[in-house]
Amino acid sequence: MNLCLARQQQGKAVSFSMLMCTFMPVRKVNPSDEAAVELDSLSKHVKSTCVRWLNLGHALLYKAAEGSEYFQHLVDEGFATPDEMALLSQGSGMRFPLVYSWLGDMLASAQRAKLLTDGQYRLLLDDVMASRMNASDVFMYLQAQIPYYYCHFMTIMVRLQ
Amino acid sequence: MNCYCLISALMQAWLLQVKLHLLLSVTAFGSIMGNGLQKHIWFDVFFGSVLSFSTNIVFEGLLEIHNQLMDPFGTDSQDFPREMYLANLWRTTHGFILQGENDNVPQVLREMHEVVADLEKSATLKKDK
Repeated sequence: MNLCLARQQQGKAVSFSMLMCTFMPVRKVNPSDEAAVELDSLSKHVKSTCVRWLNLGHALLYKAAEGSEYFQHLVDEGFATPDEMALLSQGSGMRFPLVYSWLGDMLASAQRAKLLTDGQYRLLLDDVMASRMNASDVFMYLQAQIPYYYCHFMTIMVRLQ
Repeated sequence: MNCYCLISALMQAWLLQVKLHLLLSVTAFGSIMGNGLQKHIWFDVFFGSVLSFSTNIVFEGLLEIHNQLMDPFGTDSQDFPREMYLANLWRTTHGFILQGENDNVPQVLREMHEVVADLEKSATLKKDK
């Protein structure tokens, strides 16, 4: 079940990336048009940062599920920058909700910068929120009062009876 | 209140069913064991005793779990860790507010905020003109 939820979240990450590329496609801009060039570079920057943060949230989910506190390799692998990792290392407990809040903030800024329409913003935010919900569901099942292996054990015992 | 009454009634019915099942199954296993003892079939004696032992463990265990789950709030080790959950909820929810108040966000996001502020400023200036 947990793995199913984690995979469902992976699916959300793919659809989010797809939507980002659909809403902010690569356009040929006239190099002499400074405003267009600036907006294009901003669009690329927002797109790459949002997709990176969604993947970072996903990586932190696995880290939290493993109970691991070692994050340096996420910086080495390009999931996070050193300043982001320093911010994430400050707090304790769940770190991935913080990344999703950055992501929401970035999308809101993109909407204010007119890179996204209201509808597109809403659609992308829905994906982010669904990812956050899936991540929370993983922990809901992991921290259930009756662990899964116990349920399976009891099922086998009752069936044997 | 009605919901609680329903759960309580269900629990009573369940308890009766399980106890009845235990009584009947132990009677059946007892007769297998008795037969085995009379005819010196030691496998039946062993089989009957193992079954009656495991049946009691499983069903009484299940009843005990349901008994514990009826009221998950308390101080027992298996009860809902209320204080830990509240502390975690407080830390997570206030983490969002604190990072905004202290501008404790990544450099990338801070730069984006500046760009958006500049864009909005220039748009307002254009409108005023």
